[in-house]
Amino acid sequence: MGFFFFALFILGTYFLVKFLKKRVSHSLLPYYLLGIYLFVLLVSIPIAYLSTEDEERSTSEIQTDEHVTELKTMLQSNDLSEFQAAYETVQAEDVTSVSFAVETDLLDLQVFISEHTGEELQVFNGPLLLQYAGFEKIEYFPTVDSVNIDNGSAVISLNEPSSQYFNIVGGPVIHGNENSFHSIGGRAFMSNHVIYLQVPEETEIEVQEGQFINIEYVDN
Amino acid sequence: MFTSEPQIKEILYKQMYWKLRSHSEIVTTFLVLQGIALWIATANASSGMGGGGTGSFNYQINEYGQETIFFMTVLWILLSGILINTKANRLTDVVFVTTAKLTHFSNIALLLLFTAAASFISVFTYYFIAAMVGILQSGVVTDFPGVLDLGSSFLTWLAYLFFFAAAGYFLGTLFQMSIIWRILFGLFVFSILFVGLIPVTPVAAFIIEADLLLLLVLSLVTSAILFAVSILMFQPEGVRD
Repeated sequence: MGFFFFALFILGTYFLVKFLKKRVSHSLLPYYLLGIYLFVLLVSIPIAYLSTEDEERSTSEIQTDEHVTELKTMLQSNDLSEFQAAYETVQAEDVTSVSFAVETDLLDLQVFISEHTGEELQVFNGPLLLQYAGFEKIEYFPTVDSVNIDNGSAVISLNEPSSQYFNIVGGPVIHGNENSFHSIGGRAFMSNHVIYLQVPEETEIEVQEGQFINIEYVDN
Repeated sequence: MFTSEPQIKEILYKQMYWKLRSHSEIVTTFLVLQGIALWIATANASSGMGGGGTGSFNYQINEYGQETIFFMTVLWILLSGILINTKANRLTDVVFVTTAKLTHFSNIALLLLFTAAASFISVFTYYFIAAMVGILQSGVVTDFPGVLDLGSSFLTWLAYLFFFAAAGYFLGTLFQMSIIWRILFGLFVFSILFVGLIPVTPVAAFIIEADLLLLLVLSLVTSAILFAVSILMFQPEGVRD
């Protein structure tokens, strides 16, 4: 397959070179077409604007460390009503090790517990967390219904069947710092956490934190 | 000996105007490549698609971006830079009483103009992709960049395209000097793609990871050097040389 694309690339380049080397008449038509093309691109701005959520359009404003810190504070103060996050307490008396399956899936909702020695594991999940993760329009994202622990793994269940489609238009091509990853080709800016876990400080956990998962140690 | 001393600026301007029209195929190529890239970028989200679920919850994430447009545009400016200095194109300079240096200057100015225009236009392709995704795909579209993002994006495009235009011009100049350079360049590309002799990853990482200001400075300095070296080492005495 790689060779096929390479051959296609070489072939495309060859025809491109042939075309570029071709001496044509002094036509202004390409420039008129360029103007039309630019016009089409400009017209697409309001259409793109209408395709996104009304509130908080600026990605650089919504997704900052400051917002995440504020969110953590809210979570720690148990002010859950502010952001309607689902709250679930897991009685996991012997928790010593917690790891999360992140892999390539961005919204992996599985929590794996290999040993149980701790007191309590709290799982937060909710629409606002998703919003902070970069999804601005969350209409039907279900809340957590229960967390089942079975054979050393905990699976967060949801209260209703649901399918979600997220279209992330990355970019624009831009340079930024580590908090706003945009690079060649760009990607949607999705900092921080879909799942937020609060665990007792003395609990020993082995965590594989990912872009969408955060562990917070708290005093009892 | 001239009956009237020709003004360099005037010649340069006329050459630029002439070349803008005679090299309009560069614009045509740009449009075709952008069209293809936009189609690919809008229709094909498979490269960034992710999905999963826990039984009761399924999700699918489609990622769209300007990668294709970026690489197509880089390819376009690189080839344009290489080919603008070919003998066939140099022959068009015969309509002017000019010097090798002036020809170089007009070529470089033309490339800069195309680079700036391509950068400006390419920034807005983001909105076209977002609009098409919003219309054609189910689900939600995230992100709507602000003016600052657009400014940074423009500078980023400019830095990269300017660099590749200069690199293309330098390569084009080398290729005009001797066929040996073409063979060497072929071997160089081959060694990168198949033998892995050149450490591509660190170089690429360096280019990608540099911050915007550093990238701009690097691009400007490197491009200036490449253009200057091109001018100095290739000054044919006649247009048919």
